[in-house]
Amino acid sequence: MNAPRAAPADPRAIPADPHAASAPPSAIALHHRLRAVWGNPGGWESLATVNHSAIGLRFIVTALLFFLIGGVLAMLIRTQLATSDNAFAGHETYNQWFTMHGTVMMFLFAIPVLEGFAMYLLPKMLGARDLAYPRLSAFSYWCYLFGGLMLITALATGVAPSGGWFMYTPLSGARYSPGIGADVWLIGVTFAEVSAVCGAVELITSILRLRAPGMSLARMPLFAWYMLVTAAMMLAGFPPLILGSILLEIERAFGWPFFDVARGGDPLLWQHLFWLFGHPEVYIIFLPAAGMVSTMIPVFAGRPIVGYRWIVASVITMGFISFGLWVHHMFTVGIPHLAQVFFSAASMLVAVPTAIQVFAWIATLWAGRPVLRLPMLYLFGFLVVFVTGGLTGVMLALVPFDWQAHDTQFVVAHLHYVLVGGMVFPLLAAIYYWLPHVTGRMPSESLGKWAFWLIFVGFNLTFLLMHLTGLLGMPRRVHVYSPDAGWDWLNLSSSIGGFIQAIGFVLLLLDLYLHARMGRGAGRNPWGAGTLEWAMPTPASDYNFASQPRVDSRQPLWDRPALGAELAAGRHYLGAPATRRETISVDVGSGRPERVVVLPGNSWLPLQAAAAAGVFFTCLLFKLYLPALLGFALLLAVIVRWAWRTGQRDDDQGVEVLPGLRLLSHRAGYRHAPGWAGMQFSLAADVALFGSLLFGYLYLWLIAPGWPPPQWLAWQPWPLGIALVAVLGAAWAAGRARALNRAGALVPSMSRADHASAATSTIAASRWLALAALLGASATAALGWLIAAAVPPVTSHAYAAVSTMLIVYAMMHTAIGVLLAGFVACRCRAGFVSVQRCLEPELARLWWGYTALAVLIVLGVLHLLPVAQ
Amino acid sequence: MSTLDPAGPASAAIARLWWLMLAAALLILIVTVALALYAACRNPARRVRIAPRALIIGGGLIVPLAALAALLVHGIGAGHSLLPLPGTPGVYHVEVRGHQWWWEVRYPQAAGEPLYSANEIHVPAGRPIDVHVSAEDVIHGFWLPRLGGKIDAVPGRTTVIRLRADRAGVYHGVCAEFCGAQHARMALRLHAHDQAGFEAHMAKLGAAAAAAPSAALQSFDRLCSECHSLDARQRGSGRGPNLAGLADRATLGAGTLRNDAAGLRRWLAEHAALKPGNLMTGVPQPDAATLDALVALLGDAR
Repeated sequence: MNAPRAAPADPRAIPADPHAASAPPSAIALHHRLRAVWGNPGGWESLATVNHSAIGLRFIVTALLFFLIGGVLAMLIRTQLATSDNAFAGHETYNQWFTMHGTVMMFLFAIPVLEGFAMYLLPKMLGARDLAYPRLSAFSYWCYLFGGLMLITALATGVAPSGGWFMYTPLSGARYSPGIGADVWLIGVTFAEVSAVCGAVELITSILRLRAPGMSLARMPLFAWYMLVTAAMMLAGFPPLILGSILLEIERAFGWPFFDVARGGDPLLWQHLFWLFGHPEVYIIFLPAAGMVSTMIPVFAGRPIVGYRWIVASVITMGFISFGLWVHHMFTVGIPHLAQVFFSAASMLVAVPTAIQVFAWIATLWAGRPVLRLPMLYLFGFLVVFVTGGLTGVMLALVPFDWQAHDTQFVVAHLHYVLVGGMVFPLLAAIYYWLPHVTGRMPSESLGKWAFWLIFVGFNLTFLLMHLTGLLGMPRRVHVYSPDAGWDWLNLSSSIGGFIQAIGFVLLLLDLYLHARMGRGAGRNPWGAGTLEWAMPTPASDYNFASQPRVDSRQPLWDRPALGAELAAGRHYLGAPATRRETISVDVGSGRPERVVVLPGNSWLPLQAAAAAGVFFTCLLFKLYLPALLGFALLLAVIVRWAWRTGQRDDDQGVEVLPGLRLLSHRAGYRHAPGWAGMQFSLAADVALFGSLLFGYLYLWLIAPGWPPPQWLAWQPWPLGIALVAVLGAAWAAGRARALNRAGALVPSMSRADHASAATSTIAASRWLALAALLGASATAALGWLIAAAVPPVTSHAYAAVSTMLIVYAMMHTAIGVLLAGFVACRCRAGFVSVQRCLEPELARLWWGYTALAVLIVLGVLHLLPVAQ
Repeated sequence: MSTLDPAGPASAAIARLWWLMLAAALLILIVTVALALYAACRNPARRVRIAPRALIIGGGLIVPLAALAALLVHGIGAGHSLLPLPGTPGVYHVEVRGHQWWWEVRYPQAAGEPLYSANEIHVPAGRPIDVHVSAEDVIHGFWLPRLGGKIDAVPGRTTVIRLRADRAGVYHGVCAEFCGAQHARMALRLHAHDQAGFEAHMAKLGAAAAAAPSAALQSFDRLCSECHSLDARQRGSGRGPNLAGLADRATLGAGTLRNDAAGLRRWLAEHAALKPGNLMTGVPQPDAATLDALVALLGDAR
């Protein structure tokens, strides 16, 4: 891009003495002016809040409420299993309990609570004022809440899913699970997953772009590294489950066979798609928690973390390996032996990066002068429980042992050791550690200790014995067992342990309540931490930092203990009072400040969009397809309104972020715009979805019994030809539009005449975009024609069903392309686009480039593979 | 039911593996926790000096890699020896098909023609047994813990597991994969006999069909025969368990009730309450006399 640049963004441009900055208003005056811009509204209006602190806390509190529901279900399960032949609950009730326990804990507690922590903490740790897309955070929260409420409503009314939290087909299919339960799971969880994917795009962009000046990747707090990898894993890991859920819901609702063996489907396809998500999911839960551990250990050891680079490398390695392990959930389905050996070895290998982190933590304590405060106690609980779970995980990775232990109580014990050890204990430590940040009060050390020992002892009593219960032959998910089996004392002990644990959690809640009411004041940086989230008064202000710091090391607060006061006085970046929400974006690698990102304020749009999505999903659930379409149209309308209200009609003049250092806003050019990064990461998730669908097509083709299908795709040159020509034409037209809009931009200092000609070329660009929309509409119609004319009847065979899905995927992209091109054409004419404000034509072109590629691939595999056969 | 009380080579190999891994895991856990406690609690001034990088490389890289390599080599060897490789002499074949919620058993190698049974498997002791596992409806898990690992019964596929009972005896099993409402009531038993006992049992099963025509048999034909067969040589519709030789089975309803006259009567009258969701629906409730006749008929079905 050749947009004019006011000043070179020199990282050394900060004055050596911050006092040299031009006389700022007093800290208090600055605070009030920032509050006016950043403040959260009260009362009903607070539903329109988009601030990351508020949204993050909402995530955390909601997730903890779901955790309580999941915990009550756990106690009900333990009550039922306490004795043999127990008549406390019938099979249907019990099956709903354990299905919902797993579902609530995984989808409504573990991921959202960690996402909430990340949303709350990351901007503060990175020295930013908010996340990259504040309204998207709010949308993500509402989607999560509505999806969760759907599931909980089903539980309360007795129609919850009862097929187990991994919903194996055919048991979860329409024939063996009639009724609404399985639909609730598929739709409710997908709703919550949409939230998680939005959150992942949000976090990844924010981590890469919205940091304090000078914070290079190598100076990022470890928690940010962990979350970066986690968010990337979410983008790749959630789409397979979203796809699987869509396919299964379509099979249940419309009878398209994907998993039905009698019609060429394969129940194992569901297992592959589920675990392709499900295994990375374990690490998606563990890594943020490990990131919290890596944040807290150095504080209590009183020294920087040892082996920062080792940890970063091992976290990235874990992210990759975790996608090569999913088959270890399927060692008993009859997978070829060689494949089992591969997945077995990969499953064990993941122990190595885990061990590196554990020993980096030990080495940090060893090299430091540890102070044993309350969070450290919970971290010890984490270490013991998690290492035990890791070791039983290695055992289970060994194929012959898995053949015995699979689907028994041993596995139940293992997964609780890993998840409670790897996530709940660090989370409890984190709650105590960051509580002062939220409340401004210190936790007491005594009640928290009692809670810890009750939870720790209760947990081990419950689950240590459960390993033995499994080895003695007790399968999982049985609602009764015979007294002859000899499992009575083990189960009773596990149940007693469960209740001890529950008492511990109640005590913990009491402690948190008392703390919030009467804890002593925390003051600034009460634990003596080195990361930036403590460089602000607690509880934190909505704007985080009155001015954004310059970062020269990994522990800015240890280098400069007075940093907090300097920031509050507005002596650093963006310290001058502004009338809009601003935060600095940096170069990904070096942390050089590049742009000022202008963030939107409070808005009702997120709630409106989520409510429209809620109407859509609820109508799907009750099979009201016409109203569902209306809900979808409503959602589209809100999204268009949302997009229309974003942006500005004037070219950007830049902001003085420091005396003598002027930066343009993100609206100048496109490479620095959060929207550009967001589109790329959204497309990455889209590619993962497409890849999963192609995997399903090839898997069914190669592996499923019941192939070849009775009828192949018919050769229909007309719709095929029209679709190809139209989609390539649309991509070309979108490219022309971008090039035209760029055309006038070669001169750094433009004259009035240049401006006029640039405006003309923007108008010309809008015509090309209109052409792209027209061609896109033709392509969409031609693809629909192809389904009607060439594909065998869709319910006849999995081949027809999955081929139709591929074309539907292509059609959705051309249809969105039509909307996008039309929208940007209007924006060009309405003055939102110029040579300088060129993001939107770039987005349209990027979308059409991907769409053309996807359509080519879809039509290619559909037409070439049958020929190759 | 205990995997730690193995009765065949497969389960014995896995049990050995378990004890070995348990010992190694305990050692690693204790050392790791001890190191962490030492690092956190020992007075920093008196602590042994050690290069942090040595801790990371030693504890995080070298020790785990060495331990995992050893385990993997050992485990692959152990796993390989358990596979149902072709070419093993003297393998006896049995077919088991999972249904909601019972096990269909077929003996393809029975003398004369294949025989059918349900929920109890009879095999010769001391011989390798290949169990060919399939599923009628949803996924089930075939598991006899004292004999070896489990294998899933997946619709559309046949999976094979090799087991061997070293000594004659009765071995209990369960459905391991959650399969719906009565997953908990899907027990199976394997009887291992010496060769003579095995042949005698199979001969008896094959002959079990020859019941004389009677009023009871008429009632059976009217009420039960749509789903059940009394002839071990006939699969029938396959919708319900084959009842040939029922009197020799230990339980009714795949482990729901003890199989005696009282149990049988109770099962026939109250199966819907005893095992809710079972597919024996739409059958008119027999009157007391018919019930007596059926109990007598089935109680005699040896």
